[in-house]
Amino acid sequence: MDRHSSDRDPFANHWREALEDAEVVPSERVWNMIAKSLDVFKYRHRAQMYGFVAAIAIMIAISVSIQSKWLGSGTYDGNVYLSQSSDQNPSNDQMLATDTSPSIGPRAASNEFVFLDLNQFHLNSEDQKAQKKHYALTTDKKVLSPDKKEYTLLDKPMVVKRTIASVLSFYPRSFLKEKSIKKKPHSWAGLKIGGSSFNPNYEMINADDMLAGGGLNSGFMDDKEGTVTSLDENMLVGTNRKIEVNLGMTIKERFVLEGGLQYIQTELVQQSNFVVENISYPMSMTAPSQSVVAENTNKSVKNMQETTYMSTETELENRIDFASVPLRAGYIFLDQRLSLRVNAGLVTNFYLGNIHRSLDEKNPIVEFRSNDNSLYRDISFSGQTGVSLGYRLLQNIDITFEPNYTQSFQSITRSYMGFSSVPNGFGVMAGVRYNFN
Amino acid sequence: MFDSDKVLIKGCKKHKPRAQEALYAKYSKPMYAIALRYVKAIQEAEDILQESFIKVFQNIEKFRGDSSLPYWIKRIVVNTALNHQRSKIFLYPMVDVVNLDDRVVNEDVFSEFSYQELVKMIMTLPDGCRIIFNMYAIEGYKHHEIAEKLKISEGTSKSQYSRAKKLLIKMLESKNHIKYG
Repeated sequence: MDRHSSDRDPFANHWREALEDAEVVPSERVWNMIAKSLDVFKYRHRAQMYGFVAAIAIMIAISVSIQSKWLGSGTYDGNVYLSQSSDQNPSNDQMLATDTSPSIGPRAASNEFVFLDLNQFHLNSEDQKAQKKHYALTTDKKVLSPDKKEYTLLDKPMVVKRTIASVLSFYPRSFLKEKSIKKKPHSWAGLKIGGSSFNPNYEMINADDMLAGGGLNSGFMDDKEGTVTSLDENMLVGTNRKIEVNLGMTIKERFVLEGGLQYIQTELVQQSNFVVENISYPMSMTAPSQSVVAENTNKSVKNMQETTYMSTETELENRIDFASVPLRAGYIFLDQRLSLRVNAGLVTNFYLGNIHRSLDEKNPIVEFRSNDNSLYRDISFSGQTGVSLGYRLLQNIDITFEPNYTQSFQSITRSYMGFSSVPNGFGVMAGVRYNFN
Repeated sequence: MFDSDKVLIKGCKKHKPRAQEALYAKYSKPMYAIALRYVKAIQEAEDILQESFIKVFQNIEKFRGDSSLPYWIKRIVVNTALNHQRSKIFLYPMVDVVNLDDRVVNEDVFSEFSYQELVKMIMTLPDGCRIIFNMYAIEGYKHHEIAEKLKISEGTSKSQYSRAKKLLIKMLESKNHIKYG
């Protein structure tokens, strides 16, 4: 484009020069339509972001759990095992297996041998006899490690082969300092905030029921004079904002139960396209009574009335508020300073109300509450599965990050409304967890 | 690129509504004039403009500044217009009529018309030759490039341009009551 030369037809060049700086002002309608589309795009973009973050987090969680499992079952055939010998007391130099719980994870995996932080180990060690026995078998060689700390060289015979050669290269040492899964049950309270995508999976079932029910944007339709004769509607992808408080406890060594209370705010865009039929009579004539119209339907009355059809396209922002009660069961894969748990559960959603807004102005057009016989069910159920990643920040406090997927089991709208919406979506929650014991 | 364009691009990349509106305000008028040249009806030009600016905002992150911002937007508008018109090009068979009109029109003639009038003349051309006239005369494509882009023969492109030229000269003559050539 824009390559003009002298060998081109001069007629073409004249036109180009004449129209080069042409400007015509478009109607305002164009920008209004663009602005609406950008609003829809904004929601789609957010929804995609939630899905993307959740997918990445799930991949990280899966890779961490697979790696920890692999580390727990692998063997190492090397001859040299290092233990940090910063402790001056020779009786503390050696490491022994004391935790025989069938744990998974880098540190817990070696249920017969631990070779990491001796100080930490010694604090955890309960079997003094075993310590002495193993001390007698070891030699007292020292080597210099790449981190410039002194390590004691251990004899191979004293060490059971189920060791982890490269734990330190895989995980930061700080992940491994905490004692692994405790046998005694523990409980926690948590606070999480986050969001998710909201894919409404909108489907029209019965157009007549939908017309009778007033459709999605009934508040908007009420303002129209005349009869709505056709309706074409759609719910577009939106987003959820969530805040949750929860309580949880271990019910068996690795199994947990968690329940909570959530407030969910769903925002999405609804499109309605409806045709309004309006019957009017010329000014000079008085409108005939209904009985007259009935009698003369096939005669002259038809000619007396003027029927106009008006097609209206509406896009509205719909904000739906839910209070939800999630109940989840989980299985702990890793319980170190870094913890990993897989959850699945049932969420009961209580509809609180919804607000329709114009995309241009944020003032509510119409508000519905749960007792207004709204088009949404008062109670609906959905399933949720996810992965909870935790990191021990302070003695009793974890920070958590939870990618999840939610699928509704039923339509969130009432069955007689003529359409259904069975939403699903990927989400991410982040928060803090206080461990009571 | 002007600094103000850089600021607008930065804002649009962050999906800031004010930046988007400012960018639209700055470039919608010349782009609408381009869209009008490709269509017969104003409604269609508005659709092209709307679609083009949505594409601009959705793809602004891909804009690396290799060309100027107005040139990049113009390319989007032209491509959108061509996509809109593509179906029409094939509805009407383009017959190769190699009958190139070599009449010479004086440059001064154009100064007697406003660009709105000139745009209206282009809008009245038949679909096929209107598109080719726009691409060749105003956008600066060569006939073999047009042929490749529209999947037609080079001869068709030339003959359609010739037809457009003939019709436009007739329009210029009739509106100005002057005989050219």
